[in-house]
Amino acid sequence: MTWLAFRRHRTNLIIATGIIAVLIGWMAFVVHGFDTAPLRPYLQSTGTIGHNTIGHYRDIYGGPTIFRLDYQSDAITLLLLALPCLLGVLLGVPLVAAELDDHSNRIAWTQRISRTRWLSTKWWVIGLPLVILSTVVVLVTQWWSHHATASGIGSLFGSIYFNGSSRVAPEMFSITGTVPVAYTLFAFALGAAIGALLRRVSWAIVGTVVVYGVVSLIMATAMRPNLAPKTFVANSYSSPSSSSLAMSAGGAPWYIGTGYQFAPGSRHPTDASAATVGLHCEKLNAGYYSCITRNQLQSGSFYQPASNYWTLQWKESAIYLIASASLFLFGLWFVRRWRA
Amino acid sequence: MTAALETFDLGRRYRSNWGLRDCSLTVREGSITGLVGPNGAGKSTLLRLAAGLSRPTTGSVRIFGEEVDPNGTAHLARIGYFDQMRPLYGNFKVDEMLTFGRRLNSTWDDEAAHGWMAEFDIPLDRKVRKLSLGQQAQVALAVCMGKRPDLLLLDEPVAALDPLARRQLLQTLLGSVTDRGMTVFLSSHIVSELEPVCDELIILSAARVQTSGSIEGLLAGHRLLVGPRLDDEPTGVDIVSSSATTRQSTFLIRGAPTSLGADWQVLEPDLEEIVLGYLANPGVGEGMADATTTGAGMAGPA
Repeated sequence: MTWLAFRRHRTNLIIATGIIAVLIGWMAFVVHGFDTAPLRPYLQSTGTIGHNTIGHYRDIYGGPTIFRLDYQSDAITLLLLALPCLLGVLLGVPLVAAELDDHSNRIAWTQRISRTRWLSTKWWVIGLPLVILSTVVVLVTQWWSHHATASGIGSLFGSIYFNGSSRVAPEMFSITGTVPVAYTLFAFALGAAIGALLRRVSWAIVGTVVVYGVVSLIMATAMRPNLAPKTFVANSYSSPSSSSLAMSAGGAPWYIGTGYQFAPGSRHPTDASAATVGLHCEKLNAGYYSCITRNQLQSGSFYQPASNYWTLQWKESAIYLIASASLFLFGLWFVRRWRA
Repeated sequence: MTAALETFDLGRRYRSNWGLRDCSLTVREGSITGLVGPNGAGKSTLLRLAAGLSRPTTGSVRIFGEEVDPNGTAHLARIGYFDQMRPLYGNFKVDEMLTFGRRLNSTWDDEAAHGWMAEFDIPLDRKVRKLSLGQQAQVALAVCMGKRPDLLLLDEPVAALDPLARRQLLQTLLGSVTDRGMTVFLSSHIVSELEPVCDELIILSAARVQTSGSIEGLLAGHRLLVGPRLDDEPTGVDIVSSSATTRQSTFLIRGAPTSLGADWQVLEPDLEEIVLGYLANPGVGEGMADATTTGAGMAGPA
């Protein structure tokens, strides 16, 4: 069965490996560019650089704007963000859907092998190389982002990747650490499950992309901000925030959004949450400030500090791994009850 | 005499309509049993249920006395299943399809599988999808034969073949079966294909078994009554079907003929006439009481 699983899916496995090889090659090219950028010595000696130097840099670096290293880094970042989903579509979707699509499950399921073994063998024969590949990608990503940051070039530009340069902010968080491997496994399991459910490769591709996108969005906006204790920085118009320094330990924090908190040491006037009360006050227009004061509320901003990076990474990885395991179990249940 | 395949009140419902209903039949071990019926009669449904690919809505299927569990492997060791759609892995080479069979079966007769390919001149290094439909059918059959099954379940095995290849295939099949003591259960919608090879026949129509029995038994058990045109069906005879021209009426009857008068002739129908007679009237034989008691394994000289 190992032979069949590999033979049946090897073309897509080779394509996936090829895509990853190209991506790694590109990152190496950009790293080389960062290391040899003409501005590098200048940046390192001065630390900062004026906006007028951007044009200067382009002159020195030469070539069309589109080849600028920071633009290339942005493109790589986007590719890395999409990579788990791409791998899930390429290797997860055909796992069951391709067989149901052309009815070849009928020949496989009438040989001397159980459906359970048929599916579980496919999983590990494809899943294991997938985990290895995505681990390699993460390691190369770390190397590339280290060089990008060290070069100092990236911070000049308002590019996606370097914007804020926070490793807890969604872009960088999602392509480093352990989560990319967990995402890849999840996308693989998701593709397989949706493929089984929809029975057509084409529809399953659309379904997998949509569901993966929605899940990622919900995770980044609704779940991840709450996976570790947030830091609240109250708006302060009189003195510079003292906590902002402490907060930036380990790098720039991830700005989540504005909100309310009860003032420290205050006895909460109501059972309602600070957010609810704050929202209520906002509706009062003219009475806003008195409402805020009466309820001992502080308005301010929520952050995830960079020091929470690993807590967030572990927790999110665990969530995705549990989801993957559930999807695998679903796939198994589905295949066992499937009537060809 | 044991049964290679037995079904009891077997039924399979697809959403609102039944693909197969109240089907009780027996395929005798060592026999070559044909399954005839029009397209959509439930032949494929029955064979998929027997192969454990589908799960019964009602009733049960047994292979050599053991209930088929779609998630188990017990029945898989004993059957060779040929699907109507000849599903294969299109980008595999022919010898990779045979490797597939070897890898997925603990008992595998490589000689038989390769022999089958050699007999039909199928190039081993050709991609499966580049073969003709007939050649693809041969590859699928080679995988079946390599399994060394005790029961071959063949769904429309010769449908894609030209007449010459059909005859060659059926003869080779017959040879292999007698050599190895295999039981064959094969479906077709063309009676003339089945008649020369089959011992027994099951007629399936509109999701139900209409009748079954040995071919000799069926031939001996039916008569054609031909006489002057009658507008009403005569009583006292078990009529399967009737047809009439302006001057003449013909009745296919079951059992011994009672004479309807001097101007009536009693003729022996051929198998095709019997089958078509049943298929023309899907309601006939529905009760199944007849068919199961006089059916396969009971009727006719075995």
